[in-house]
Amino acid sequence: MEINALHYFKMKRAQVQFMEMVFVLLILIIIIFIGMFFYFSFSLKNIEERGEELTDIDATVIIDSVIGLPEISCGVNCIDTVKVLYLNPENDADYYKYLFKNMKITIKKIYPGPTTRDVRCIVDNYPLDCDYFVVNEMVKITPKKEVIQNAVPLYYPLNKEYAFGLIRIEVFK
Amino acid sequence: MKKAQIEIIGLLMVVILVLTIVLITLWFILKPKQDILIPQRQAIQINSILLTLIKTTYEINTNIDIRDKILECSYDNTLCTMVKDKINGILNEVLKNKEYILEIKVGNNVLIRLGPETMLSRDLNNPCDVNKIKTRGSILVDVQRQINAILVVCTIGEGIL
Repeated sequence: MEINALHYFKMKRAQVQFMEMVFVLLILIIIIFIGMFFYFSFSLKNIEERGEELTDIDATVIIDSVIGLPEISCGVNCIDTVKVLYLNPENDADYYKYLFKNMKITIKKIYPGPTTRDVRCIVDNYPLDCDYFVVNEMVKITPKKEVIQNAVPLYYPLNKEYAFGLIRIEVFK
Repeated sequence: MKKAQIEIIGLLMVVILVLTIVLITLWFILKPKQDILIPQRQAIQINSILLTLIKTTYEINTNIDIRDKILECSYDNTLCTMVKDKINGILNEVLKNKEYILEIKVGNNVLIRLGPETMLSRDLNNPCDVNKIKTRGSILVDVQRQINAILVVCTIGEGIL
């Protein structure tokens, strides 16, 4: 009888210790999972931020490339407005989609002040009755975008004048 | 000490350790990061403003640009007021309500200094309030006459243009 009671007591104790070990392991696994969750969410956030930085660098480089494009450039650091007027990226969509990625590129005349505001320049209203040109609008619009702007001289070959312009790149992410 | 007390102390230590690790991780994740590209982008923008400004045609139907007029003004100071007004008009249009100082110098002599009235009395090297970011750009307008244009813009990190 006494031996049986001792055996029962030892079994019970072993079961408790076993359960204790299971709980410790369970808590350890939970802690490891929490750690992994934090680590991966942190890494993912870093990768996203790096991606955004690279897109920004890309856009800054694109601004310089656009100004230097022979299709629209008029020399060092200037844009020929007549060339922009006749540029149609849709004629060679693959090339321009590769070049401009998912970026909408517009050029706005700031000074001398235009007679009209927010009117796109087309052949019929150029040069007086409009104030902005579109270089590329073949984009897939997404809610998240970044805007980068730079100043650029705009050349009007008809009267050989330079205006103060702003080139604007909208990067859709 | 009883065994149960020792185990409670051990548990407490584990809880404190886990909490410390979680807090350190959260601090790293939630810490606001400074965009390292903003100062570079602003420096590019400020130089592009200066380069575009001096290339802009001074008067419609003439081939005279602002650079030529600055050069004329460096020889005849009476012409400077008109050039100043013209540049002021352009910069007000471009920089809108931003705080800025533009200084055009011949050697060490200031030829033109313009900007919002509150800014004009300030030192060009340190014109911005404590909470604002200073971006400075300069270009050589004329090599022979050693004419420099320096533009300083104060922003709160929202970009110059």
